[in-house]
Amino acid sequence: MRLGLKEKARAYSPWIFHAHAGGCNNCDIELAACFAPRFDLERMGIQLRNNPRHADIFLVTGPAPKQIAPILRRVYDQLPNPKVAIACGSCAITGGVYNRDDKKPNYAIGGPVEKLIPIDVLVPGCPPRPESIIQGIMLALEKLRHR
Amino acid sequence: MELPSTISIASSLFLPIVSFFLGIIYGYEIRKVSARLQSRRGPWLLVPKSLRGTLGVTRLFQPLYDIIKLLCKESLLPSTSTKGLFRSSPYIALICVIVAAAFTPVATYSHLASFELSLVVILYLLLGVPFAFILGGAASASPWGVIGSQREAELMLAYETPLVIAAFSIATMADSLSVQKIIDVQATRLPFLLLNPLAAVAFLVAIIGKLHLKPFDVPEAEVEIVAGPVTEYGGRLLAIIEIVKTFLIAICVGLFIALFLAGGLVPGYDKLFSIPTFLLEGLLIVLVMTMIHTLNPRFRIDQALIWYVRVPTILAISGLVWAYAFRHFFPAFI
Ligand code: SF4
Repeated sequence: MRLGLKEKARAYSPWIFHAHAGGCNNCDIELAACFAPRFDLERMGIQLRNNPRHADIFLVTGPAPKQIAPILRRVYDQLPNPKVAIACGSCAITGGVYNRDDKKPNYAIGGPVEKLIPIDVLVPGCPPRPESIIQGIMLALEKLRHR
Repeated sequence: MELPSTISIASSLFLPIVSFFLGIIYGYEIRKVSARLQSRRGPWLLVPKSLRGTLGVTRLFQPLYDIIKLLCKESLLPSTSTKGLFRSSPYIALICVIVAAAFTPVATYSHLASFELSLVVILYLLLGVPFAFILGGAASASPWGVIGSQREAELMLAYETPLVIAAFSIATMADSLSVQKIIDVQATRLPFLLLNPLAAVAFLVAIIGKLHLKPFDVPEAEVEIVAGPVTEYGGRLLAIIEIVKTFLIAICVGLFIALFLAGGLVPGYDKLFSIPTFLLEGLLIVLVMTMIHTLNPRFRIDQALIWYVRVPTILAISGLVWAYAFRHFFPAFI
């Protein structure tokens, strides 16, 4: 597959901004494992940035409680285009353990995250294993390349 | 200095490009070595065969990909910033750094380095970079940017002193302010690394502060003040800042080699032979700096200031005293 320089650069050096929106913190630990010696994402040039203005990939974990929901949107808008968003973990996708009964929705949940920001890739699991997070990032790269 | 010929103009245009690619290699080395020291892999030098279709063959140019990617992104301007200053300060730094790169000899090749005051010119132009960063951080009107700028200003005062004193102690020993002359003096005798190691250590430590590597990355402390002066920059403007940093590594390392290691020249060998030695010495110096970067935690700003006054400045001043003593006792050397 031949790529132009622009697409190549975009696919080769994505920087991730990790937004923690509630959740039990386990997804965050799995994400940290992706950057630790065993799975080391920096092999592929992927870096974790703690600044939304520098990032290309917006990775959300957690069910986005009502308090965080407007802030999540604001932080998402601070990423310069082109950008993609990944919802990581069951509770970012559906509410997960925080929203166990659909007839009686949790009063505190402002999410799922898909309601708040346009999500490109969903990574299911509670928590997802680092392998699946890596696959999610790779799928997001496919989309980012053509933005 | 003779009138500029076509060759000298061409070489001074060509040198910044060479410096930029050297900076990319050094930037890759910093990332790779610090990853290896943390028992990670770091950016692949050779991507495994099965992944080459999607991930490319090598990641040697990883910093270049970062820069190209950032160049192709939109840049957001914070609504509260002073827009003109915010937008122009990365370009000011870029101009300073490109001109400085034309003056810094790469493996003894630079026509502008033979200008009598080239050492002073380089030091002044390098001073322009932190100034531009301070302006940009202050203009961004973000609290992180302002705190970062303030720290940058304080740190700059601390590292500039040993840097300049160490450079001038070498100029004293060589009896010249021209980088080319300093290289020539060393080429026939011993490199200044052996004749004045005090100044060499002070200079190296000052460079680490200038490049914001680990014990002195106070202005950009990533978990304290998001990214310091560059917090509000994104997209194209951030790309310019990354280019400036790439140049800065190459220039600082090149200057160290020129001042202390005879610009890669080995006595008794041809001038052309200095190119591989220059590369090797550059990689070695970056290796040392990366080890310090990886193995150290970060200073607080007051600790950094006090440490800079206590150790490198004293070292640099003793280097200067040593230089004068050397001239007094061995007047035949120069
Ligand atoms: S998906 Fe599961 S593991 Fe992840 S944050 Fe939510 S509850 Fe925790």
